[in-house]
Amino acid sequence: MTTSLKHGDFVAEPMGEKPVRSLPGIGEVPGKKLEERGFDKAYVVLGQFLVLKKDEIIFQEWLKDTCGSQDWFGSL
Amino acid sequence: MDDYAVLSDTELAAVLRQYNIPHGPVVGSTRKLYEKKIFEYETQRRRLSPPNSSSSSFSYRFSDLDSASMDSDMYDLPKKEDALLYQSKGYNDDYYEESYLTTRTYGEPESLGTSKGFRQPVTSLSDADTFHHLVHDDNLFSSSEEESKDRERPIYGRDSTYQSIAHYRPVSNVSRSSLGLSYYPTTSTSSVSSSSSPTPSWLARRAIRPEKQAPVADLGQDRQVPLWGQLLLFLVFAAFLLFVYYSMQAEEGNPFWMDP
Repeated sequence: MTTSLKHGDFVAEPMGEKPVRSLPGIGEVPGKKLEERGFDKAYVVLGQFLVLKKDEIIFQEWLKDTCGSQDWFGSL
Repeated sequence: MDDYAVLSDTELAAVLRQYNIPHGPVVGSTRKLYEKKIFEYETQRRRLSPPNSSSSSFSYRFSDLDSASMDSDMYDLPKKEDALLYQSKGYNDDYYEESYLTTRTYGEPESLGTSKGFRQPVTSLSDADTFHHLVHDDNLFSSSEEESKDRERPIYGRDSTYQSIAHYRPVSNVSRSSLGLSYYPTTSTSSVSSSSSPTPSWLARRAIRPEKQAPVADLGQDRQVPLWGQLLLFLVFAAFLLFVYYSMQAEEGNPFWMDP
């Protein structure tokens, strides 16, 4: 699934209980890494974004550090 | 980097605040990120001001220091630098704002390269002016400019280049009296009183606006003439169509020939 399709699907409705792999840019490998850290749902990653005070730059850094993926926060 | 592991969450947050690194709460998931930030910040600072080893680490508060020899240096200098740095840190917020700007504002002083050129940018960027005053090293300046170009750069990068500039402040105070040192007190008071929230995106836009208003106004002037002309042409065309329509209506008389 391409990122843009995933993005469209993701933003079409409230994220609810969607798993973290439904996030655009988070595929198998990054998703697994996030889940290992306890970020198993999309809203938990949202929580991390909010804890980082919605700073996109820091959040991207965190995402890169955590799972090597960094191109999806737009869907937030 | 392991030095920071001994700090508690609140202590780490205090250090982040001290370095004016915008941060959120230091919790389990964010701790490692902020430790890394502090580490990179100090590394950058150390890298940018190598001769001044005493200023390389602001961690004189920390119990675990790298070497005993650094202790005395760190205790001597930071006290004096503290006041200056805290004062200059007030610029940081404005610097964050400026650093998100397009390099247009930095372009002018950069090209001129002299202190005189710093006066030319718009007065609303006076804080940037004083900031430029402080820079002696062109390399430093270009690096800070590059970082201001690139939004993706981490914040500590900008912070560190700015931090090293603070070192030049004492020197500049002494030597550059011609630049109008009265600039510093006025802007420092204003910047210290400025809010400390580092959300530069819309603030940056606010700073840009005074500069860009002039060219935009000109463009507006250029466009207004054809705009009204276009409207006029449209009305003429509409009138023409109406005329044609009503003239056609008149011809809708008896479709049948009355001629027997």
